[in-house]
Amino acid sequence: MIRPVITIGLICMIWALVACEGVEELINANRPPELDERGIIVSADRVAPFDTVTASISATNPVEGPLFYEWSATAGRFIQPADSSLVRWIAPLLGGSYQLTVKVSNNRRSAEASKAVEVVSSAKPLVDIQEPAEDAYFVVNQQITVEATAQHENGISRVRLLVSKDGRDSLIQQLDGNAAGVYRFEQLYAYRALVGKATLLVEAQAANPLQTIGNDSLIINIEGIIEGKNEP
Amino acid sequence: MFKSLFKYVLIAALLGGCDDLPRDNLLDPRNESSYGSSAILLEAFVNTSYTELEYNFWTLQALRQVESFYGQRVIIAEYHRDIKVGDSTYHDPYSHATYDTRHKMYADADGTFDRAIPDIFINGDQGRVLGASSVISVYNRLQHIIDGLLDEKTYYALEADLTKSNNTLTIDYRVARLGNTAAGELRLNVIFVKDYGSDYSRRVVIRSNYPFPNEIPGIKAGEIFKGQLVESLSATDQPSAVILSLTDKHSIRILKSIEKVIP
Repeated sequence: MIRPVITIGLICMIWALVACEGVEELINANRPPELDERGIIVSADRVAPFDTVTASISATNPVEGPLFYEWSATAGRFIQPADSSLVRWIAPLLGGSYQLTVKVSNNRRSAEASKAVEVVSSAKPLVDIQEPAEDAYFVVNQQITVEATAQHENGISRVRLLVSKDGRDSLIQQLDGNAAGVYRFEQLYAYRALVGKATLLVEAQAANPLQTIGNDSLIINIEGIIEGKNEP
Repeated sequence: MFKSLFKYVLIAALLGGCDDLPRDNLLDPRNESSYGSSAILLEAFVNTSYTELEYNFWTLQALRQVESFYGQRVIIAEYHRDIKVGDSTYHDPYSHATYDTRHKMYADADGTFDRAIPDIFINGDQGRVLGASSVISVYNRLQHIIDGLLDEKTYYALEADLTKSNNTLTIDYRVARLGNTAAGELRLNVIFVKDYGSDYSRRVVIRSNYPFPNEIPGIKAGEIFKGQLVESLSATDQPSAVILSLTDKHSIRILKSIEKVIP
């Protein structure tokens, strides 16, 4: 009597176990791949143009089956094949910040990760003095407003206005880089030592480790005056 | 008989013909399209007593070059100013208080910079050359402005005859309105200049009727206004020339300038 009961019990237990595995499988079938919390790992996140960067992603599949890797980047190109967890990306010529993105998929769902890589340009910032005009005239004590644009692929860290006379440079004003790329200097007033021809120099420093400096300059005339009102 | 008849016929023909003469002379006030040109008046404010800085001397040298290049197309008047009261370093023997006020009037009208020397105003408010860093810098700036004004039309004609008798100078002047519109009230500015001999005192203003210029009533198109001024000249202060310039009553812009050498 006891024996058949035990047998039926065992059969029930085995059936239950098998059924649970099927349920779990049913649940896990909709889960996306799990990406390592470190995301994409790159051999370097600040490189020179045309440098090769190794990028990898560690992922596990919660369901049975293969994982598929699809890599993309905002610029540059991948060395083929580029469909595995480890790829090689060649940085573009132009400096700037670029996104590497990987989409990891299983049979049902996918997960994505991105990583920024900065390409450091060795080019000099492009500086252009907009105001005043070349050969403009000013008189002593007159304010000389200088406006310039400065651009660089990696951004601009600072822009400086200098006045040069007889080979000597004097720093007048320094501004932090800004997104608009327009810089207005309002702290220069012509002074007597500048009378004659003087050079306005605007130099900008790239916001990258190379800190390359670009500049633009122009010549202005400072006219001497003797002030005095002698009110009658 | 025949000769007399011929004479009368000829006179009649000429008289008849005169009616048909077109008034197309641009300088004829009765021509509705008439206009003229004017010499450009440069009024410089300088001080030649203070010699530590050469700014004034560069300016005066540049004016000599302008005079040499443009000839009678420009008229130059140099007002010498004391610029710091009580400081003898800046005392200029040719200065006069009215030159300060004239300078102030121009500087205020310009509005860009307060009075300072050297300072040159061109045709009143048509240009300003303030300061100097070299002879050529002043010359270049003046040239740029003068060249831009040389072709400007003026709708006034101004002429004058001078008569000197002992120490009295009589100026008979005529102002005509050219073109086809009437002119409002005008002012006649009279400036006496003297040549003291050096390049820095060639065109020194020694007297002017500022701030009391002669008033001229409105003139209809094609009309001519005639006026007379009588000036006493002291035995010690003999001007070499007189400059006459016209302005609108409510403006400082010079409309027409002439210079006459005093006999």
